[in-house]
Parts: sequence; structure tokens; C-alpha cells
Amino acid sequence: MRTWIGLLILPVCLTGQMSRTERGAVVFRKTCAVAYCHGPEGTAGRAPRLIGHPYPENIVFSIVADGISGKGMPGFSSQLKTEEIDAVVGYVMMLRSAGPPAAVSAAKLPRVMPTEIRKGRDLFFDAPRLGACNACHQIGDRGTPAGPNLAGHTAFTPQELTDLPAPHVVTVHPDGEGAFPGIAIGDEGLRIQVYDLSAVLPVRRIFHRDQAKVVVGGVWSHKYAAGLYSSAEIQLIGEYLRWVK
Amino acid sequence: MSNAVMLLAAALLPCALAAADGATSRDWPSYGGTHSAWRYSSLDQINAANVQRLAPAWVFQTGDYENGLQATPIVLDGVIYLSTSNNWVFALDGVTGKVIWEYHFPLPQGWQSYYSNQNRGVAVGHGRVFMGTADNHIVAIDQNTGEELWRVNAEDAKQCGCNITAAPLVVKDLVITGVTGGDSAHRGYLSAFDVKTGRLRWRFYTIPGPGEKGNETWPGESWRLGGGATWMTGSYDPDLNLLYWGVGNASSDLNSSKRRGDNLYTGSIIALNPETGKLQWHYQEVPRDVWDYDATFEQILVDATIDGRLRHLMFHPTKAGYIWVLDRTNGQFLKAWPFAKNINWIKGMTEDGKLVGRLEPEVGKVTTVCPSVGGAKNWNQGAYSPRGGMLFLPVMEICNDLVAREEVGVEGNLFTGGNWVLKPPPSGKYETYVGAFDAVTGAKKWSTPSSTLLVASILATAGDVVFTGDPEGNFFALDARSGARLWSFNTGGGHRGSAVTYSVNGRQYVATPTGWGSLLGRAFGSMFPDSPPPRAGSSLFVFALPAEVK
Repeated sequence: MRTWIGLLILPVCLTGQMSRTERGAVVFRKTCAVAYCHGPEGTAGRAPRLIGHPYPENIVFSIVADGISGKGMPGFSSQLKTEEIDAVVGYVMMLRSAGPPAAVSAAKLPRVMPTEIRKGRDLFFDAPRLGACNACHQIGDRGTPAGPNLAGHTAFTPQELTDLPAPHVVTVHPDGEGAFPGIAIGDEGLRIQVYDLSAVLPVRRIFHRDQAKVVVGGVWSHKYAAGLYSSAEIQLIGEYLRWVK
Repeated sequence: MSNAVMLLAAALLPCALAAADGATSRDWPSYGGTHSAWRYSSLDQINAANVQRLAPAWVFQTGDYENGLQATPIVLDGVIYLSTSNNWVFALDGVTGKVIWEYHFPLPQGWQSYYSNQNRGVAVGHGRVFMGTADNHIVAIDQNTGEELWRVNAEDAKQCGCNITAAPLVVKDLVITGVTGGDSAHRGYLSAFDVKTGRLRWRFYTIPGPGEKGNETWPGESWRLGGGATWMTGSYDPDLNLLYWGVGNASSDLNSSKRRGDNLYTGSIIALNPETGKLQWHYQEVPRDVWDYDATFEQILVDATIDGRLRHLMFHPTKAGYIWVLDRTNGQFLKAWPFAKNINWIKGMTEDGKLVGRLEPEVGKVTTVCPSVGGAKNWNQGAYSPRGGMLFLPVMEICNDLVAREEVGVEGNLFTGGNWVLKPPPSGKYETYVGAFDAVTGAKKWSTPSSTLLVASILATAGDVVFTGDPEGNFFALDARSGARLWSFNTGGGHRGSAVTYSVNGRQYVATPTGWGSLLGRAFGSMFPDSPPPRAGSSLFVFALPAEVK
């Protein structure tokens, strides 16, 4: 028993210099991998294999903190510190994209997002700004994929963003309703699907082919979204998008 | 006494209730029956004298057996619109149960929300059926064909940790929906979409942002992730043109150390102009909530005489064990009366509604508080009957041990700020019952106990019958005047949904969803370890009187 404690102290002392994922790996090994549970590196014990699991981060967090009643998974909110839970969630999220066991290696560890880049990311997804970038663009599995993928895009000023050409935009002429700018999603047999861009949140709409006409080209700009951010903020978002690439 | 004589007697009472339009008749057009949320029908073909002969007419199996069936069916012109936990929608023939169309919303594969994939119903209007989804979309379906017309992502569910479980409300040309997320690090809101195009018309954040009135009740950045979910359905008064909605608890739920202030508009009723989404008035029932006492449940709109004056009232039951009685024209507090027996979170209230003697959870120390986070009543709705001005409520006498903890909010993650363990009240035994109360005075007329956990909604009718169901699967009828059990039918699945009544071609039907599920439902085993677990399932049972009786 004493030997075990000695072994555990060393990694815990080192955690100050480690990344979230690395700290999480330490917590995982001493808590989740033990006994009959998730196995070393999440390769499965009696509890499920976690490599390649499908859960988003908020679900993983709630499972780690509160457990799953009736399934033998205890909640760890009273056993682990908040930082430890956060770290182990980070590690389990790494396992999600880690693929088969053989692929788990240092090369698979996600890049650590620098603080400056994180600022741009937070602005891209900023919830208090209704109609922020993520309302129409998706990065990874976050956001709505109405507009194009922006990974690797360069920065703009608000004016440049407003003036940016939008070649994807079409004009939709529905029966009995005014025309609106949209993005064509595709045809589904006799039906047409488009994103309606005329409100703050894009609306995915479906029309019978004989109920609406779609014309290439349309009048639309990023004016509303550009108005949500300052020049400096748009610069930061651009740096984040370059980093994502 | 004949019904006519009873009505006359009620009209002559000194506290006589004015005629109001909260009753349904042939249809069940909206979540709460009508926009006044009475859950009361004027149909009386099925009544206290003949309900013993009620028999199944047909049963519909949805096939979506995960998380039970919690919906309120909507009924219009003999067609039932029913939604399931994973956002399937069915249009059913109200006489035969035959499927007219069905629609499955494409949830991402394996999608599970912390707030559980569950759905409490659709709204129907303007030829469309509207539903909120487990991944936080609002979708419009053609009422005649079941074809999808539009959908909007209200906010990315993976980011916000929120979703939509409540039925939307159609007001004028808008479909209005709330959002869950009150136990997450999230900022709540109400959204109004154009029924035809799906375009967002307005969004009202339940937590004011910087520069807005009320933001000063949130120190620092606490407004960003302060909860205030709108996770149940509101009411609407067309004469006053006011939309009413209840706002849930503040986050983190049990620890207010980072949000010392009143935390507007959490724990409040808000009244909005439905066209603009602008706040007209608010009344905060629980400032700086630390007990998870959501104020999101039904707002029952009744015109009645109180203190000798006919007023436009709102009766508002919450988890906290009280019915708040407000003047719905201006939000004035008139009174609050307790409907549960075990209440210790406050010692009482002043005449103007201020809380006295708060018993707050502390960090690292156990505090026993009643009612529990599950509430003296949960979201499942009570019913109001104008026959004698009665409120029928599903009451739970449950306490809990609360321990607060310091917690840093991470957007979209759980943000409870503590733990709770459910426990029986001081009597040593969990109690659950249908309670019948005078809505204005709060005087209890009768209560009829149930065996374990009464968490289905209540339906009242002009036939002096009160319907609800229990976890053991029994759907039963009580005499509205005495609470006597008149009839019961074992559907085989636990009840966590909302029964409705309607009529087609002169024949009255009563329809109840069955099938156990929900977050609270999962606590059943820990509360009643000796009882068999309620049966899952997802079926609609429809009853009528045998043809020769009607």
C-alpha cells in the first residue's frame, strides 16, 4: 500500500507543468483505469472502452461528475477536485478521437491552444453575441454549417468583412412570399432545401420544387455579424481560424 | 344535486368565480388545454356517475421506448398530434388510432442531452406543427402531410449544454419556445420565431446583459452563466396581450457566493409583449435562489374575486411548495399559500411577499431542506376547475440533504454548485397525493394519497372527474368533490405524462400517455428500493364509455 502511495505522489507533484490532457491521464490511471473499470488508456475493462467514444464534452463532464445511476458508474464530484475532473474530461475527450488502441501515441495528442488563440476562439463562439460567427459557420463539430468552412481563413477588418463577396448566396423566390437571400443545401427528389439568411439565425427551409424558384446570386453581406465585433476582435478571430488550419 | 343546481350554487357563493374561457371543449388545442393553462375541459359526457364504465377504445404504441412518454397530446378536429422523447411526431385519427402521418426529427446519432432526450409536446397553429428538439432546434412540420417545412438551431446544444423539452406556444404569428440549461453554466432566454418562415423575431434573455436594467443584480461576469432556464411552457392573455413565462433557478444552483444579488429574472414570472419581446412587468418569487426552486411551471390564468374585488389573477405553483397569487395585469403580489406540508426553506413570507428566515445550504456542511430539488410539485401540471374554484395538484412530500461546493462555471457544463440526496420528510415516509385546494384561500378540501411518486399531470372536467396516473401504471379517476377513487385501469407503464380529453362526433374520449422516464423518474429506485421499478414504454391509451352508455 505504501509503495502505491509513493508511486502516486510523483506524478501528482509534476502536474503543475503538464498539459490538461497529461494531467488528465494521471488522474485517469489512478481513478478510472483501475480494477474492473475502463482499463489502461481507456482500452476497456468491465466498463466500456472509451477510445473512440461518441460523447460530447459536456456529457463526459456530467458523467464523470455525477455518474450514471444503475450502470455502476459512480460520480466523482466529491472525490476529485474540480481541476482534476476538468483534466480527466480533457483526457477522455482526447480518447474520443484517438481511434483504435494502436493509434494512441504522442502524435495523437491534440495541440494545446495558446491563450491568444483561445481569445479568438471564444469570440467566434461568444454566446452573448446573438448571431456570432458560430451561428452560421462550423468549426470541428461546433456551430451551424450554413456558411463555408472557415478554417485557415485570414483576418478582416469589420469593413472588409461587410464588403466580402458572398458567391455562395442565392436568391430564393417562394410562392406567396417575398424573395430572400439563401444558401442552397441540395435537392432531395422533388424538394429544395436552402438556408434562409434573412434573420440573425439561419433557417433551414424545405420547399416543393414547384413552390419556390432558386436563382444564382443574391444580395447579402456580413454587415450584421461585422457589427458585433471590433477590428481588434476580428483580428483575433482570424488568428484563431489560421491556427485551426 | 344536479349539475345545473351545483353551478347555480357555485355562482351564489361570496367568492364566486367569474366566467372565464380557460376551459377546453371538443379539442385540446394547446399545451395547458387553452392558453390560460387550466387543464380543464367543459366536456361532461364522462362524469362521476358513469366513469366506472370507462373502457379502452384503442392503444397506440409509438415504438420510441427510450425515456418514456411525457407529452401532452394536442387534439384538433379529431386528429391527435403526439411527440415522443426522441422527437418523433405522429398525427393519429382520434377515433381509431390510425396513423395519418409520422415524422422523425434527425437527431445526431447517439445524441444524449444531460437534460435527457424527452419531449413534453408540440404546438399546432397556422397549418403547422411545431416542436422543440433534444438538440435545441425548433422545427415546423406541415399539419396535413407531416413534411418538414423549416428548422432553426436556437443555439448549438454541444456548446450550451441546453436543449428544448417543453412544448412551444403559438401566439399570433409567432411560435415561442424556452430552453433548458438551468443546471448548467448557461444564460437562459425565450425565443420567438415567425410561424411561416422560422425567422427569429425576438429573443429575450432572462438574465440582463451589461447596460440593461437588472444586470446590477449579478456581480462581475456572473450574468454570463447564471442559469434562468425557461424549460416549461408559458401562458398568454389575449385581452391584456401579455405573454407570461416562468424563469427557473439561478446557476450555480446551490451556491450563490459568486452571484450575491437578487439575480434577476431568475425565480421570476416575466410578462412580455408577444410582438416585441419587451418586458412589461416581472415578479421575482425567489431572489438569489439556492435551492433549485424553478419558477418555470404553469401559470394558471383565472378571473376571480379576491378580497371583495374581481381581479385578473395568476395562480403559480412552483417547486418551493407555494402557490403564488399575482395580479396578472401588473405583477402585483396578492398572496402566497403553501400547498405542501413539509416546507422549511423559509420560515414564511411578509404580507408583501418578502421571504423570511431563509435556510441556505452551506459549503462542506449538510443542511436538510424541504421541499427537495425535485419540488413539492414537479413540471407535471395541476388542473384548475371553475366548479367551486378548485386547484388539483400532484404533491410530493420529499426533503433533501444539501451540501454546497465552490465550483467554477464552464460554459455548457453542469454547474450545480453542490450535491443533493433525497430523503423522506421528518415523518420518515415519502408521501405523494392529489391535493384539492380552494384556489384563492388555499383551504385544502381533500387529498387522496398515491402509493409512491405522483409525477403525472392532472386533468379535470365538468363531469366532476379528476384523472391522473401513477408509477405502477394505474390511470385513475377521482371524484372532484370528495377525492373518492371512482375508477382505475392498469396500463402497464408508469405515468409521467399529461392526459387530455376531447370529443369526436359527440363521443368523449380521454387519452393518456404512459411509459416511465425522466430525470426525476430515475431517482425512483433510490427512494423506493422495495418497490418494483416503474415500467418503461411509450404508448397512448385512449378511453371512452361503451357506445350504449353515452
